[in-house]
Amino acid sequence: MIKEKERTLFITLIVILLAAVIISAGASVFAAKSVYDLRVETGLGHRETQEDDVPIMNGEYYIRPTTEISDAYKSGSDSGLDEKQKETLEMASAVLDEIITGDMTPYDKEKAVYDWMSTKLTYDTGVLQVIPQTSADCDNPYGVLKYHNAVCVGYATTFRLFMQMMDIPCMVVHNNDLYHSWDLVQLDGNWYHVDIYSDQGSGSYANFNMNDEMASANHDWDQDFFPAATSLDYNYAYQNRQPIEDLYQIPKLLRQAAEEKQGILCLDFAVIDEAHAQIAEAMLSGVQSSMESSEAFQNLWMHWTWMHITGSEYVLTVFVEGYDPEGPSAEFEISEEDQMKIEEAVNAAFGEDVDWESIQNEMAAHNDTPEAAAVEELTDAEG
Amino acid sequence: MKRLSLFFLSALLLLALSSCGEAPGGSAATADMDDLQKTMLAADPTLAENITSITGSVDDAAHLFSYLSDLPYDKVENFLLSYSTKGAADEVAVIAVKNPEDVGEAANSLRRHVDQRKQLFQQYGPAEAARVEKAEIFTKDQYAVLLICDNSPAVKTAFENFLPAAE
Repeated sequence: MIKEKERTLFITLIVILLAAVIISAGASVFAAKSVYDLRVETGLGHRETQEDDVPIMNGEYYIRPTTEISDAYKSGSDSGLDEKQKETLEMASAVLDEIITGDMTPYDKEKAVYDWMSTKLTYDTGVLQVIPQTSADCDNPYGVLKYHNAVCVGYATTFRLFMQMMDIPCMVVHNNDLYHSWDLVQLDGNWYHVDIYSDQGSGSYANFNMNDEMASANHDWDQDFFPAATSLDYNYAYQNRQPIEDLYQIPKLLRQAAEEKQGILCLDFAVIDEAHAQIAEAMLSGVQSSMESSEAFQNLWMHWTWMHITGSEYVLTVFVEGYDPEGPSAEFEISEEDQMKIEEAVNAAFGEDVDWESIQNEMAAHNDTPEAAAVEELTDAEG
Repeated sequence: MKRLSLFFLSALLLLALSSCGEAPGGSAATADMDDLQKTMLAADPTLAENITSITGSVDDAAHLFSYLSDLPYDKVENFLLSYSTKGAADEVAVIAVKNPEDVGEAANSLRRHVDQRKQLFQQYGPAEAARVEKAEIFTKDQYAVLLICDNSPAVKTAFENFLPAAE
């Protein structure tokens, strides 16, 4: 009888032990699956390349489709859209009404949208914070068009929306590390890379209508999934290149460009070898050095790229940036006394310690708002 | 038979302990993170502007910690994180782990964090990427520390000087 009890106890213990092992193993598998799901959800895990529904920056932002809005624009019926989409459609239509004319070619339209976006939108620096703090909807056309504040995904999806509305084929591309996005646009059957976000502020066309070779200098993407961009026909630098025969004209041409506040200079060398390219590079470095020590140009900086055309023909594209922004602050100075009064008034109301520099930063961020435009009008009227 | 039963009971107990995933070893006393944060930031005056700070005492600390480190939060005793709000790379972070044996894992998580920040700045602000490359990561006792700032030697000294006073 005792032996019988012992046997029962022994079997019970075995069963409990086995159950514990099974539960433990099950929990581990479940945990592993959860981690895998999380990695896929946040874009950290392996996934097949696709254009839309792609998480960028660990899922902080998403590339979302924009065709519902563009289809509504083309059909003239917004009945299938929700309120947010309807508002997006209204805002996007207003922009196109403002910048597009009937006689424009697809390229003209594309450039008009690039010009509008690269000057009217601001780049949301909140994306660079360790704990990102960007404004609402900065990754989609609704937020971008409403607040004029965008992260790269916002630029890319808004540009695509405009292109789709005008029946110009366009795709949103993302890089392999899921940290950046831009567009591929098709003109006359050829694809071109457009990264307006990277040209934000300068509008230098440095990232406008690039081929794969140019784009791959600072972008990487799944070239098996996205279409190849091989043409330069609509590249801005290629279209605006000017022939140059004497290398030693470069400093003079750059001085002229800087005086005219020209952001891009495209010099076409019909034939150039490596030795002469090095001379050109040395001259550019010399110009950069001279600019830094020159009072008139010390705020400017340059960068340049070589674009291979064919055979020994290359276009040297020099980008000059850092020109003073034109705005109310350039024309109207607030006196130190008024600055102090503003500081005191703001701090008295909110009990904070806000200084003049942070107030100026806020003003700069609002340069393109209707309020800033109103101040500008007032300044003009008084002037 | 009693011995056998005892053996199984012991095995069950061990299994239960290991299933929890909790490493043995208690948490050591940690420095006051708010005071440490103030001390470290004060060591580099350039950190005074446009910096926001949090510690493990804020609401949603576990979630916010995930932006800094992928170390399981149950291994963390406390942390501090100060970073630029104006698009700069400046960052000061300290992770205090419960078990000093985990401090290497915490430092490695900071290295992964720095790699991600480097990728981000290479894309969006190459000038700041160069500053991220100079990031300093080190450990002391139960602390893993990350410094990205103009005067990291001074901040490191401030950190090291603070600890004995706190203990």
